[in-house]
Amino acid sequence: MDGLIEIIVLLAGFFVAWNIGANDTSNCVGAGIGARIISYRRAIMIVVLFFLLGAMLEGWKNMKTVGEGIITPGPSGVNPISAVPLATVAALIAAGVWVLLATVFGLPISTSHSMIGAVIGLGFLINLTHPGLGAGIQYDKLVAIFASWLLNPGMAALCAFLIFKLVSPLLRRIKNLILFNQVLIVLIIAASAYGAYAIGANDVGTSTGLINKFFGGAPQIVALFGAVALSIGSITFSRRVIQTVGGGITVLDSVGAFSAQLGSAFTIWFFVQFGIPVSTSHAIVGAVIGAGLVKGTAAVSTKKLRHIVLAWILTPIVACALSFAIGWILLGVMG
Amino acid sequence: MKTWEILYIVVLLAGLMIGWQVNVYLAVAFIWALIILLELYDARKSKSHGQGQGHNLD
Repeated sequence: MDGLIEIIVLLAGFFVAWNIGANDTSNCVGAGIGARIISYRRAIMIVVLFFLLGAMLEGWKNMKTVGEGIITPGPSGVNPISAVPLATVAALIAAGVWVLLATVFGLPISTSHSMIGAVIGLGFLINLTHPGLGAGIQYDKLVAIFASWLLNPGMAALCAFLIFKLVSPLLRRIKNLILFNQVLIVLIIAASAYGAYAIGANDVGTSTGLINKFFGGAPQIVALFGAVALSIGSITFSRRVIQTVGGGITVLDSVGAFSAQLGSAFTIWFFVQFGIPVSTSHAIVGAVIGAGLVKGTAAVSTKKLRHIVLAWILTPIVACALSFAIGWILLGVMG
Repeated sequence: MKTWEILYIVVLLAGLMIGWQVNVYLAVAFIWALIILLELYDARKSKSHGQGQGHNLD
């Protein structure tokens, strides 16, 4: 039975990371593809290579937060995530299902919010069904995470806006059109690679934090596992969300695409340094708006934005409720 | 699915197996090397056919 549970945890973890890869690939290359700077295939190549790097070098930072920073052991010292494996499976399934639904509808929702919401639901469930474990929920950590979630899109928008204002006059000095295009392509590819690196670090940590804690801490192989699942998600299922981010929110020119990509990448990477999983979707949508605002607010599609904002608000609440409900059912049936 | 997508997935899963059985860093090097080689091969093949950016494996 224990072996079966371990396999189910791995499969559920793969499912979550696969979903997150499908949803978040657009966040590092969507704008470049939308501006027709880079082909879909070349973009996926960059994504795969740099997801791996980000996951291996910095994935452990968010892995620690998700696995140990929110739900803490009680006085007995028993690891609550391993002690109630069915609840852990439920949390992973809940986060994955919600991200999958959003991906099917083409909404770039927050995968990090989904995972954090599911972990909170897991904490509530463990406290309710296994009070003897004495597991604690770190509300001060959650407050820091929620504050970062509010800060994230604004910071990305500001970064993208400033980068656009800084880079645009410099690029305008290049009079040779061929050279101009070549410089722009190099800049966008570099920004996409940095974006994929930051997302690899952020998302792999977020999606595999529970798995790492469940198996007692082998962060490198867990990071590789997460990066492979994330990459397969981006290869198999990312086209639809890329269409939304690349062209649906605002029509970006090439310099705008570069500014949005670099602004969001820096913002995500900045929060990873503090071990705070943020929404890569928030960052890119904020950055796309920041770059789009240079052309005036009319360039931003408000209808699309309303749908996205609604999904943002719903995500942690739905994931928390789903995690609790699925876990409750699993524990009732199999526990 | 397109051929290159299937090849990418095979490379990634093979890399995961290497990471599991041998060494994680060797696995990352394996995936990097194979994907870059795959792209170089495709770009070269496309160039020799005069197709511009490589999509022969599509």
